[in-house]
Amino acid sequence: MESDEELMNRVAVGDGEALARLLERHSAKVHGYLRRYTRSSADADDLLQETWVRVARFARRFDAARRFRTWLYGIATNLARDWLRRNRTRASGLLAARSEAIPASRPEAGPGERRELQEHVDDLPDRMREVVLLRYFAGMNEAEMAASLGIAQGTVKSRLHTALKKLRDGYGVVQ
Amino acid sequence: MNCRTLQRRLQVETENLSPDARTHLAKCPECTAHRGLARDLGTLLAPEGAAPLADALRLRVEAQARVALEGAQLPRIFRRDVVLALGLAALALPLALAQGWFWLQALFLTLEAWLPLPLLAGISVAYVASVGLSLGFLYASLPFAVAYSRRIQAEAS
Repeated sequence: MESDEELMNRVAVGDGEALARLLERHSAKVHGYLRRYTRSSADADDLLQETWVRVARFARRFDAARRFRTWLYGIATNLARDWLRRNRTRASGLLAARSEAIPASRPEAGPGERRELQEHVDDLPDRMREVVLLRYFAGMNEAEMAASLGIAQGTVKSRLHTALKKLRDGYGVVQ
Repeated sequence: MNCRTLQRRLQVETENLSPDARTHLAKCPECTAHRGLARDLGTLLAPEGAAPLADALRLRVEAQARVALEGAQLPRIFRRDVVLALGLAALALPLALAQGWFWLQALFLTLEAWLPLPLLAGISVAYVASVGLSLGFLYASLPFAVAYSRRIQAEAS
């Protein structure tokens, strides 16, 4: 199976099939990430589309030494940040309403448990929320998160630590 | 091992811990809670069970991305919307040139009896240069205007 980076090399010379395969591999996860970031399915749809349009448009600028996934999530994160800046009021409304259902990611976990944790993640400041989502939703390690967000690895560690501390204080984990 | 070091370690790995870390965990409720949270986030936020993309959305995204890919393969100047804008603007070019020529002729016919030829020639050169610069600026700005309009449309959609 071709790696993402090999497919991107083909996309860079205009191969639409390679682009379709990348889209098939990553779209559901990126959409879930954007939905959790924006708390809105409809806006996540639009942002997903714009993310892939940018991937296609800037494919020639992709550095083959980088991992495609970090580049992709970097684009998605930047778009989601811009969206939040432009829609700050609406985003707050969505947060207050918490109307978006959280898709079941672990059948044995109760909906109340999922919702409570998701609500605490939603309440985090944006910069902390994005590292939590990249770490636990996208499954990135600290180096990948740093590359994706364009910040130092130490900053990622520190943000994640602060975010988890905040979550711990609010969520009240019982082990 | 102190709490901060262990908690940072738990952000990366919650299961395969060193004996030192396990000893610390056994007697530290705060780090145990931190580990529990990291585990919960890992399982509750993990996207494995996330619903696949709806077909309509996937097709829409793919279609738009393919259009963008085709566009990205062409130099900016040859993109369809830029060519269209330049083509439409070029229709007005003969009119602008004819009008310029007409004013130049009128200038000569009216003023050649009163003004010396070098002065008339100087005025004509200044006029032609200013018209040329204006037209050049106008046509050169069209691709930028089209790109800006495309961006506004994309943001609005």
